[in-house]
Amino acid sequence: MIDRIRHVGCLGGVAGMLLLAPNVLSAAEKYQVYLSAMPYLDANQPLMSGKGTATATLDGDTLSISGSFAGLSGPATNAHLSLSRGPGIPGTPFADLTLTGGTAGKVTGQTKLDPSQLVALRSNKLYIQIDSHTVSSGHLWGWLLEEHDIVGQDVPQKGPWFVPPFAVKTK
Amino acid sequence: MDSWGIRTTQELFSLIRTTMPPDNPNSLGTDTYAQIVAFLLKANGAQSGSTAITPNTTVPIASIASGEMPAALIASADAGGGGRAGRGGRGGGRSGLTVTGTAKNYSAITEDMLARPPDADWLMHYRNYSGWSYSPLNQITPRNVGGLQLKWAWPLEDGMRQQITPLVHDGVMFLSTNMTNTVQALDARTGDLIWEHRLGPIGTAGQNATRTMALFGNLLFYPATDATLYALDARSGNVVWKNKVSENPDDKIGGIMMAKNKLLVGLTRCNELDVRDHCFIAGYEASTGTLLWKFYTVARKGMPGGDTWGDLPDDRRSGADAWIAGTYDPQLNLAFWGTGQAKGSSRDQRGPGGDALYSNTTLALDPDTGKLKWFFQNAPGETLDLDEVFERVLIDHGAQKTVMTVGKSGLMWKLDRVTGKFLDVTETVFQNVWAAIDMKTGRTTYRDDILEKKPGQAVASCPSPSGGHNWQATSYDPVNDFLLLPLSQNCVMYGGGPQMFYEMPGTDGNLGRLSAYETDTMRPVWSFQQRTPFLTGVISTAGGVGFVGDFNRTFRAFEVKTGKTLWETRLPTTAAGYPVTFSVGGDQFVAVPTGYNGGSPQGKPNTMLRGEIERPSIGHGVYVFGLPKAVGQ
Repeated sequence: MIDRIRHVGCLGGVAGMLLLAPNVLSAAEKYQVYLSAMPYLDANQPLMSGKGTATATLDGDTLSISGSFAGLSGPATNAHLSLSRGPGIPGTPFADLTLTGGTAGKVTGQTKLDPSQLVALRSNKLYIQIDSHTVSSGHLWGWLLEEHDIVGQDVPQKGPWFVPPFAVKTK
Repeated sequence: MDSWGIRTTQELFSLIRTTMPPDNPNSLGTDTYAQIVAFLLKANGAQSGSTAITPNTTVPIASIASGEMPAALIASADAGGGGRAGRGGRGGGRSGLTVTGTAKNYSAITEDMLARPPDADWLMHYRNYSGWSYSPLNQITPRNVGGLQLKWAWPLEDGMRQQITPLVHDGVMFLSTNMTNTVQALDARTGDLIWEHRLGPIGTAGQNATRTMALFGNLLFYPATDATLYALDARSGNVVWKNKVSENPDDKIGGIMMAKNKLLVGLTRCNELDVRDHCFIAGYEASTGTLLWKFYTVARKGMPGGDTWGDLPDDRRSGADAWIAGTYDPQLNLAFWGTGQAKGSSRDQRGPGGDALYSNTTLALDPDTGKLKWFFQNAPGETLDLDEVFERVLIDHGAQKTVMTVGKSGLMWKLDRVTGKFLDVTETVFQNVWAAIDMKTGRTTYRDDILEKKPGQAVASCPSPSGGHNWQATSYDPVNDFLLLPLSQNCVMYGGGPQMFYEMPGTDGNLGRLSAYETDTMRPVWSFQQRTPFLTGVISTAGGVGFVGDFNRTFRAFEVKTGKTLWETRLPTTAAGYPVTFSVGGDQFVAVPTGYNGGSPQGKPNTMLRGEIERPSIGHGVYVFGLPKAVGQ
């Protein structure tokens, strides 16, 4: 099974954006998110279930998020956009997202990012966190990662493999 | 007690109740869970008190338990016998040379044969001195590999960890069983048993696994789990000599290897904080077992590097285990070994200190004297149980002689093996522990919050201590200049008590990945990922076919050039250990061991696969496949 994900940057509306916001990039930036369970506390381990995906688009300084999830052990209660030190490291919420559904549903939202948050986004430091009735401290989480090619299970991908950059390499 | 002493009985109660039994947590009732907690505390030296344990009892564990098991409990466990003699075996409690026979037409192995192994054989852990796990056999190809069929299988006793490398010479396959320290010689073509020696002891392996044996002359070297090194006559199984490598009952033998007529032996599990000995690599005269030298992998006060442990007293400097076999360059006459992390595993356990030499280091040793020619510390002052101990692969890039290795953090290193100079490094899996890497020196720097971690505080670590890369050895294919990497993809909250595992960002829950990296450019050529991790080493062949096995009982052949799966089969339980390929009578075979307890790379992902992947808890064995024309039997 090949499940190839490829998001192509949208060029639409570039001229208008430039007129309104001359300091931002001319093309929308796309990000992809895998939502998965995070057993942050011992007691949560048996309760962890569920998965999801989301995409995020940065248009000017506005970040729009759209995703879905399923299989939670309890209904989703809250969703946030959070800032962390980097992928895989718990951080702090700074914007609320909108939830629909229960143990399965959708997560959406739109927020303006300040300059430091824009830098964080482009450093893979922003993530979506979804809380639930069973795990109130973060049931699903997933980092906004720059768009990249990835094939499905058991299918070899030729050439580069996306590894989110983290270490600063100095010379 | 290192991690649990600072936590409370309430936390222990909560953990057990919410995670046990694995298939139905919180199903046993409060009294039963209380009894389990009470037993665990008693088994760790706690005395019975007057107050009953409840889910809400909050007592610091270190205040009531010492971590020492009472003698009466040890005795009752030893007398119990249940399961300790191994399951599924044919020994029936016997010991000694239980099956006698002679390997016919067995030729003595020379130093020259080890330097240039006969095509048909697999004479050592990685097949050649350079650590390539590559065979020049080319009968099995991408065109015909689909016809592979089972030729024979052989059960090995269940229990403990089983991660062996079968060795093959002159049509004889040598196997060992970790649980009972049994060594066997079989006809590699038919699977008929030639001899069997039950050396014992039974069930002392603990968390250690015997991964390597070695061959030289007419001798087969076997490192028993009680740290006794045996030299057996490979033809008959008779003991020629034996030597206790360490008298410390906790110590185990890690990797062993031959180098220039010497048997090099690494010590492991010599790593607890009540140090009675330090870990070492030792050289033995192969023909007699005479100890020639020891190189201690912990720098003590007054020695070179001794100041890298701060003020920590010598008896608190521990770890740097040599638990994986090294490699050897006959031209340079240098043996290359890696070491594990310092113990205690985290900086806050060791106290203010420094790099803790020679932990997580590449060592270049003179096999004649044990003298250190150079070293490069891959992970200075390591603090997250991320070993850099694994195979050192010797690859020439033009005139430049390099040594390459990949550690648990997934960094793939390239060093000049003449001088130890850092040449290059690349991240093969996502990692968030190293905030900076100096590309001139190779020096790594941790994230601030890792350096500032306090006792009992958890920090996020990608990868987890399962790796990245772990004991499942890479393979170097010289035809394509590919290093084939079995990789694990998961993360952990580490250091705050029980380790809590979660998906590695960007992997979509795929815990296993196999990648081919071109070693000249350090760039990936192909990769594929799957839900479960790979739990065998990888091998490659001149036929252009590679082999690897996984957690979910699949053993597969893949095209080395593209990564495409060409053939696969299911085994009774997890494929674990090191596949090998060999030929007898002109027919090529491939063998793979099974074992359901693979240590960190198996246990840590297992917490994420619970309820999803079911594996039998029996089924240790070896499975041998060949093409249809190799009728054999």
